[in-house]
Amino acid sequence: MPNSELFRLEKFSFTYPGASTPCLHAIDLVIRPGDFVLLTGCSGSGKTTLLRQLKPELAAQGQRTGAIFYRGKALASLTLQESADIGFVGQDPELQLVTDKVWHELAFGLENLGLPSAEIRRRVAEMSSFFGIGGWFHADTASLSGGQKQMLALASVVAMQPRILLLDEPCSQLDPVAREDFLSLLTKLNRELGISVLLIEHRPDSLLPMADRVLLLEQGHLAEDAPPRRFAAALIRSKHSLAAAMPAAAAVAAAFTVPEQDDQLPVTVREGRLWLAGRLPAAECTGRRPTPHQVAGDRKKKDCSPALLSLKHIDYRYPNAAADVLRGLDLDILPNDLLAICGANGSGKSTLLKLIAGVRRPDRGKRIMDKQVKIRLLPQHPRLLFTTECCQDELAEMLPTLSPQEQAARISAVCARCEIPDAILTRHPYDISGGEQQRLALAKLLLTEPQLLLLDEPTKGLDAAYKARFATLLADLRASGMAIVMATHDIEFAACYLSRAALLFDGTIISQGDAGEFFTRNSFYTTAANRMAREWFPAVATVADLLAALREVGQR
Amino acid sequence: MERLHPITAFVYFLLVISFAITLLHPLLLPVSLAAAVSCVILRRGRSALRFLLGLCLPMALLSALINPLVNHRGATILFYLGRNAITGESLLFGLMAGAMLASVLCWFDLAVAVLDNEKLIYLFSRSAPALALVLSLTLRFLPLYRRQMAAIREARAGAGFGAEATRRGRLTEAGHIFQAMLSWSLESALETADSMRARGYGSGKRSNFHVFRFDARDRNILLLLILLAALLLAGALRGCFSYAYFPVVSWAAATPLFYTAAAAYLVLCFLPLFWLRRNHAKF
Repeated sequence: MPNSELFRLEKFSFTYPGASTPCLHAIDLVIRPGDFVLLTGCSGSGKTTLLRQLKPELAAQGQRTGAIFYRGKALASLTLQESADIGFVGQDPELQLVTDKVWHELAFGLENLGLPSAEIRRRVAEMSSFFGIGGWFHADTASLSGGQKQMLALASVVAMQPRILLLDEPCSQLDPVAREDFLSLLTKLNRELGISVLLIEHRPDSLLPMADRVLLLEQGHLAEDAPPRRFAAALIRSKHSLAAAMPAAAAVAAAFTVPEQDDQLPVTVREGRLWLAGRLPAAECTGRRPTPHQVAGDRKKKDCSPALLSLKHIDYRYPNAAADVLRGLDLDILPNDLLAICGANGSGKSTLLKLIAGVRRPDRGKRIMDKQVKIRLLPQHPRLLFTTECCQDELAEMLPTLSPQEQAARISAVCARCEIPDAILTRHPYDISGGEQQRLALAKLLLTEPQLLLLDEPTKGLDAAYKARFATLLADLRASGMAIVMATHDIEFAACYLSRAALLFDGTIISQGDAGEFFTRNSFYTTAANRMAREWFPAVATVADLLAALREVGQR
Repeated sequence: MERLHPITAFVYFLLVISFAITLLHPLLLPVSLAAAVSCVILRRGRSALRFLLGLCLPMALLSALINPLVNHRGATILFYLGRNAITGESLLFGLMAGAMLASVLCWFDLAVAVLDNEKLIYLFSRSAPALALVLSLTLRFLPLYRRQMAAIREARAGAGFGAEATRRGRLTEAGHIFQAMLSWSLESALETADSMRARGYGSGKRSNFHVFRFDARDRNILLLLILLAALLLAGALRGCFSYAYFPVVSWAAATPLFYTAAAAYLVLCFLPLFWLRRNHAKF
């Protein structure tokens, strides 16, 4: 038995000290050698708690019932050497690293195991060739990019030759390119070295094809444990709040197939296209492409109302940098705008927001406002805005001149709007979940009643269920007369919920337009639904669009 | 020179700096000074001028000026300042002490450049492994803190803070930023500690890995250094390097041993010139 199972959980429950209800509830789970398992669930469902319970050194203290076995032995009785079998990688790339040099980081775990120098040298060399670290082996860890840091964190764990890797949302802080790199490395480790993987991921869609099984935790219960295609179908059919995190292909196909076909449910764009091709009559394959007249469309719209704020011919270069980040950039922000600024990693999206906010000044060019506009910027990491010991004080800090009664009234109004429960107001801002931190930071900014709200990657690290509610909040703010600009990598979010989109490339805005039209005109930088269906329905941007289009075809 | 093993480099600087401090011999001091200055020029290129003229020269001149004012020994009286004689010997001695200071400064400049943090940590780790790890952690956290501080300041500016013009307002704002840094650093230390524990830290005897290799070249250089040091010590013990600045400048008569030891000092001091030229072809 020990060799056919890595982990076995039997009716495992866990309760935090002082909590009345268990955080994990009677979980039965088996993980076998070579498994690639995704762990999903809304925030607060106990994913991280479960993952950490599997690594003895990191398991929270509390009351445990049931049992966890690792290779047939009780987890608590593992020796140091056996525990090194279980690798763990956390969320924040910055804080995973311990030492100042890349080579030292790779060797750190091996030093802790007390291995001789020659053995460490060999393993470190192996790791840096496998991960392609050779070029920056002698670099300072502080000089690495976020993606490189997370890759190094993974490499230094893999150097300890684990049988299984536990990863707690390792990509939530990474941009899409770094995320793909990281995940493909992880797949390679699983496929080529046979290392098992248990991965928490808030955007499981692109990972479904690689996974053997997907787990769903709901309020501490293991609600689902199924192969990826069945899992996706089950979530979509039950209209689960995380269904939006499933691939577009699955979401569309599940609406037209019966549960018996779920084993063949398409989960990639390629499979989705084939599925569409099988369903749609060949006559529909007109191969239509977006026509050039649409390109001229956005110019007309741009002139129709005076801009709230305009940037003219902006140049910007960071101090001591070799090249400009922004060069000759023009941008108009309209009153009541809901604009997405898209662009690759490092294209200057965050910098652009800082320039709009006036936090940084352009080297050349003008920032024009007709009248004074109150602008507030929500940074990518909401924690940067927290300075006090409790959430209540965080909000009160924004209203220094008001009487306590007025303060309380304003705070309870903003909490209702941002869905901040009263219960968390007495807690430390670092002790609430990531989604709650973001809402708290947003509430802080809303208390100042800005006319223009800037959001830097607001959907990074949010689960699908909360994303939809966040979109409602944005629409609500816009309805109250606020203009909103967000920098984002999240094409799907921008296409579904935003009104305008602009693409930043090579230091300047190269195209902009209505969100739907903007994405359907691109052929790579566009939504999965559009990439899947563009041959038949070039105007389709979202899953909802595609479903509507397919129903229309069905009725004809 | 950066290619030397940390121990070889450390032994070299230990020797050359101790001899530079102790050998105030009027004939040997210029050797050390000339070698140190040429090394600095060779390594730094243009920016050596600022270091030499801005720091070393003033130090040497200051010493040369102050010594005759407080030290009135010596046979050659140049002139009287008030009732005190200003002597040629004491001027020369001040100049020599200044030259010694300047040469030590130059040697240290070179040593700091060659023995970077990584090599220092390695040298530490032989005798105090725990200290070496703490040093490595600290060096990791310093840039992290600096960056976080800047990010917090910018985030608060974006939220409308920090525009206060009054001194009181600025002080309050600095307090807020400090508090934010405190919360963040406690929290991040916890997470980093998790990452350390997850990789088995604190559960057994650690070994110490390093990337340096002690090869044949290092062994040969170390042997050469020992030979040179032995010659110099022999010379010093036999009194070849005895000298006096007062009442008149004088030194022991040159013997064959003096010539040998002086040659050894010449080689010792000018060794880096050879290494630097090989490694820095760009100069």
